[in-house]
Amino acid sequence: MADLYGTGVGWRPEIAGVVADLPELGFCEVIAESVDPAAPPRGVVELRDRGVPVVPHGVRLSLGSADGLDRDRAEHLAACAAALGAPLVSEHVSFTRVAGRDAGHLLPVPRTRQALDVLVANVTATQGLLDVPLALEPIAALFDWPGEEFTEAEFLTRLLDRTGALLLLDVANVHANALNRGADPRAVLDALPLDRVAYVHVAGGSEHAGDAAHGDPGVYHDTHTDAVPAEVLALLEELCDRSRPRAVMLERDGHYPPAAELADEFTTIARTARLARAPR
Amino acid sequence: MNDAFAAAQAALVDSLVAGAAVPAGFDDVRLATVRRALLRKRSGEIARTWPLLAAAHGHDWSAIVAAHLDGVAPKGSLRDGWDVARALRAAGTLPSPAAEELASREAGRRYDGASAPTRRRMPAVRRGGGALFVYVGGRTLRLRGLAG
Amino acid sequence: MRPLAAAGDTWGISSQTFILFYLLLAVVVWIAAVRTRKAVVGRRRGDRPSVDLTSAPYDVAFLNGGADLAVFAALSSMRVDKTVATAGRGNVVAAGTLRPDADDLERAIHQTASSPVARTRLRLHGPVLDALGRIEKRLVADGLLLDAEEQRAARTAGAWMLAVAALGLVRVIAGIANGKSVGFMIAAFLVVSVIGIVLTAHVPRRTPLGDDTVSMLRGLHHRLSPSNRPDWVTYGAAGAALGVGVFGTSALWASDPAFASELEAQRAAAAGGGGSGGGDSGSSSCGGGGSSCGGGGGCGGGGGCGG
Repeated sequence: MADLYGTGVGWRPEIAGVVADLPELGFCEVIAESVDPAAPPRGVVELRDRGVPVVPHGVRLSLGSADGLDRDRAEHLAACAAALGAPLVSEHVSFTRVAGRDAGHLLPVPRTRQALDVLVANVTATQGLLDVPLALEPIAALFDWPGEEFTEAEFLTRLLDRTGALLLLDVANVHANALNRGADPRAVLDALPLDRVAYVHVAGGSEHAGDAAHGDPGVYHDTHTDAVPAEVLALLEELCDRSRPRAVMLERDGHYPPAAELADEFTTIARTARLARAPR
Repeated sequence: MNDAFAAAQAALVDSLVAGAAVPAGFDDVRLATVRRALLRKRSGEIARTWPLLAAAHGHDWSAIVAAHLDGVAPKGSLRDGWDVARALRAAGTLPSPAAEELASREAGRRYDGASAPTRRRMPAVRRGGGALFVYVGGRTLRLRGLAG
Repeated sequence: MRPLAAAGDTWGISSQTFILFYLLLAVVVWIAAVRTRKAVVGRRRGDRPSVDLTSAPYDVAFLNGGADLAVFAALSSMRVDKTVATAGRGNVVAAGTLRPDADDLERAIHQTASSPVARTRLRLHGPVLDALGRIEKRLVADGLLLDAEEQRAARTAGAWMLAVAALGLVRVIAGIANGKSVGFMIAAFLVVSVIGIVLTAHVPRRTPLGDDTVSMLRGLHHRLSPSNRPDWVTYGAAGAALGVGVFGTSALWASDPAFASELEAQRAAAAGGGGSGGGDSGSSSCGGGGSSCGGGGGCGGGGGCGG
């Protein structure tokens, strides 16, 4: 399986100095769309040269688009992997663009046979351009499509079986989806193909009280701009009880906290996932 | 076969960002929540490209963006912010630092409101927020206090 | 061949001969001035390695951009610490309480700005002036900035060119008085004057060691480069001070544009207003599904997000 081990973090230019100084950084992830393969960010190159594996993480490939794959974007992802010597790349089980429209956001695909076929075709085409494995990340969705034929776990298992792709499991997304659908996140974990996990995302979010005026009962938003809540850490622990992942990483995308808080969060995740070495 | 699926995806996107009706079978309340979340996210992205425009509105920024761009398909944060700034200027409510930001952009680029802004070839002068911006030779110079 | 001198030549020297010798003299003096200047500026260099001033960000700022940049660096740091606030366009005012380990310059600014002060006038007030003076003294003592004597020597070398220009001017006047054509001589005089003025007016402030130190610090702290839009909450007050010190006011514009605008900070060559920084391309999609990135309010930079 993919060659990742330890605790990682999403590299972002705004916090490059703090990422570089994290003790025992196992790997890092970089947003593929922000990388120019001909001139990758200096901070990322430095990490790679230090022997820290770098995983390009695509957010705009839109593997779930019914009107097909954008080949240029898939080639860009492959070029990022080559430029950074990445052990693998990752993308989402979602669509962001279709028929000339751009939602600017990851949207869920319906869990139907038809959507599965679309995803399999686009994923397979992408894999054909890649020299390294592809890991797929289920997203946090606030709504479901009507007329769905599979549960999320069934859908995902079929997708991974048919494409041979790995799983990028985001425990915050599992938490968000379960909470927003009124399901038990532990049951979801039990049903997921955990043997396919390449690495795990942990991110912060916040509960929105909802808006009574709009008839909104309140939801958990997977913002990546808040601290990791205790419930998500607890779910990470649940995951480790079932199948301990080899690689876990913190994802933070804005409202960055002071360096010490970020480092604390990193250490907490390492400890929770039992990836931390004995303190020296 | 996938055409119908693509059309369904397009209808969903249109309802979320372009003001179209919620397609049948979806949870109206949840889609409205997503729509608001997308606008909030969009306001954050515009704030990165138009920092003075966003800062001038403080905590009201998200609401300003929602008021102007709800139901308007995203055109990228540069154009989205440009449209908001121009609308505020037309209404006479564009704060001074934001007016400066808009003037400095307009000095250097031509934007017709319908297609991507293009860099000017000829020198240009724009005033806004008590500053004068002179664009010449690919550089925008700020001259303070000359525009009253 | 024309004789070297003929009756009617100004000072008894033909125009051709004079201009030849004049240009020769100018070139010789120019070379001598530049060499002397180099020698003066590099006098204390020796084999010393560049100095790591990381722990003294205001010294870095002063070295890089003089007193004004040192003030900008201190204000940036104090802004992060919330010990200074803006008070109308271009004015600052002290706020909160300083950290016990606050720097000399921060204390001076805090004291001076107990009531609103224009940012541009801060460095003229006694306490700030003194603090900046101490920084300058340190930098001179470390061999990073030229001392007054060295600056004078460098300027004097430049002034030799002005002496040559003066000679040219006298010849031009004499030539005119003598009814001779002086076109070439005027051109030569103008060229020499310009060189002389540039050499005299533009005396370097930094020694070669100072230059090396600045470029060494830029490499060492490239993660604070404005192109990264470093987050000042994450890096803290010291990071803000160092970023502005090493990279100038463009670091302030990148990390805190609202503050930069309120301080009316100089904006480095922003073609098209710097729109290339952020989201022309609609940088990324984020969070999972129907989630949001950066809920309301001033977004701290919710850039690239994954799912």
